[in-house]
Amino acid sequence: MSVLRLIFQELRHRWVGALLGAMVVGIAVALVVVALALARAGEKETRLIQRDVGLNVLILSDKTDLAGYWARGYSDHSIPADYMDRVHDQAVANRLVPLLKQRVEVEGVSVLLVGIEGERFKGGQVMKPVFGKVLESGQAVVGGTIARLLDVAVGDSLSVLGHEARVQSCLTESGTVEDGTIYVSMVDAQVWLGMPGRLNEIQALECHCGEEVEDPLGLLREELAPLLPGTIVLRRQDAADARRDQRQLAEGTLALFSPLFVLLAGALIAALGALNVRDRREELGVYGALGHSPLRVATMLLGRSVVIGCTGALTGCALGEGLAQRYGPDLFTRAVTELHTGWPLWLGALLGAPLFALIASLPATLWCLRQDPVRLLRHG
Amino acid sequence: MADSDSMLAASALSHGYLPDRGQGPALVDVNLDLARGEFVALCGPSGSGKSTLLLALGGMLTPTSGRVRFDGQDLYALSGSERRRIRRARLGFAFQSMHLVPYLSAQANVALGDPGAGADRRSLSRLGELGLGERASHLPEQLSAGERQRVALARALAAEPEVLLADEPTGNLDPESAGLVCKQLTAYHDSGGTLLLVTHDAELARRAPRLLQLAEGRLVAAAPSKL
Repeated sequence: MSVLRLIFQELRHRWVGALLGAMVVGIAVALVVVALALARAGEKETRLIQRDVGLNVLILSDKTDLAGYWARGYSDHSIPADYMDRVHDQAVANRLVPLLKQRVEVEGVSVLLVGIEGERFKGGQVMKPVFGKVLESGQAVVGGTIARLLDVAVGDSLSVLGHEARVQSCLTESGTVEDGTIYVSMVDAQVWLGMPGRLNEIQALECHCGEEVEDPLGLLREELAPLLPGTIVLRRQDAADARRDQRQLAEGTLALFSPLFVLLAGALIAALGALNVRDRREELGVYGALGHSPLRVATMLLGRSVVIGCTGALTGCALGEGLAQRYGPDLFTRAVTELHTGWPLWLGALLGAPLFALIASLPATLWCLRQDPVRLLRHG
Repeated sequence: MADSDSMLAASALSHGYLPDRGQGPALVDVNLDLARGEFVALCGPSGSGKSTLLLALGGMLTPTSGRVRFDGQDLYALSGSERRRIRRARLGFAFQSMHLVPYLSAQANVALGDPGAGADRRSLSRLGELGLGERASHLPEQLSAGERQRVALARALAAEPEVLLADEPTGNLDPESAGLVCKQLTAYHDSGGTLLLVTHDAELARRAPRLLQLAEGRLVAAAPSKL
């Protein structure tokens, strides 16, 4: 009789123990799946919320009158636009967005004109853009208050410094400086303001969210100063610290609970495996007495664990996905798509859970293989 | 030293269980020799060491001292896998407690003892010879004690071993079933098999040309059967 058939006959015979084992694996897998799905959704949600908070690093010309900057919202001094090509060689700031800002009058209304490009990433990484706006030449995004004052809507034309721009979108009023802003492409802003090849601000995110850094601003300046001479780096402390704390909380929670679930499940599976071997001592003694090889006996015991692990993994993935779908949207309203676990996690669970169950049942199996058949038979 | 016709022999065989608990030795300096094709019955009161002797002769219980020779080979000087191969193909063992696998049918239990191809077909035929053809698909829990005993004997005979060690093979049987078992054992012996039988059954012991008596772990008599 094949080992596989023996495994399934035994599972059918001791179905209560098998069911308990599969349930334990299933619950552990479900908890890990839920934890991962919620962590992923939480990270996305945090990112979206933090995007609204804005970037937390400012890079300006070191000639900037900072008091004037905070009063007006832009620097009177510019820096070379090719500084954006140098940010590949550093690891302290990410998602760098170049800006060229100037206060101008548009049809009698004072407007903060902002030339903008899409974000760049440290080390030339390719990431999903979150910040910045990619506008084509001749397009404009108009802040809510300006749109209301100028009475413009999407598709209308707008004359900015004697140049025509078509309104691509109008932002809703948000109670921020954005309400009084008109965004145009960086190239248009440079030409219209007569500042070709120049910027007057770079905004970025610092990259120390997951680690403790004693002096993050000092580190930023130390890393960026050689690359961007003639600049000063500022850090929006509250936003940066809140972002770091939020990331650490999310990662810390996941790092604590996931191994805890896995260890708990491992201990339970090992205990169930030991009980199974204990229940089967007589039978295992018979196999030994009849001269069946230890490899065959081990395959029977470990194969049983693998079958239970596979069953538990499938059940756990389905249960975890169901729980994440059912309760996740109550917690995360903006990152619902991240609650889908997806096939890589299912595949990981299908490979990992049986392996885990197998490792958990190894001690009991090895104990059994070391026993004399007679000793096992006497316990029957 | 056993002669060349010796199939299974024990020399100065001793075994002690748990001396720290004050239990006396189960076997004391046992010497015996079974010639190829011989049929020997082993008798003795309960606790005299009969089952222990059988287990030691069957390569399942390493004795405290002494040697067991199987077809000229020192059984306990062999490696574990070599000893296992002998148990698998050349040595049949029918346990007093039967030790059937609870989730396998009678036929599958018998097939466990047969390492060759076609074990399923042969096991069915073997069960038929023991009057259990109709019960082949039943689980052990669905069989009577006597039927289970016969399944255990069928399993011991499944590999057509050169030596059969049977511990009380008729202990739980009604007279009719006992007759079937006796017939099987006789047929096995007649086909050239070497048979050592532990029994309290006088009728069965009488069929053995040689009778051994064990008392308090010692072989006290070796005589032709006169029971």
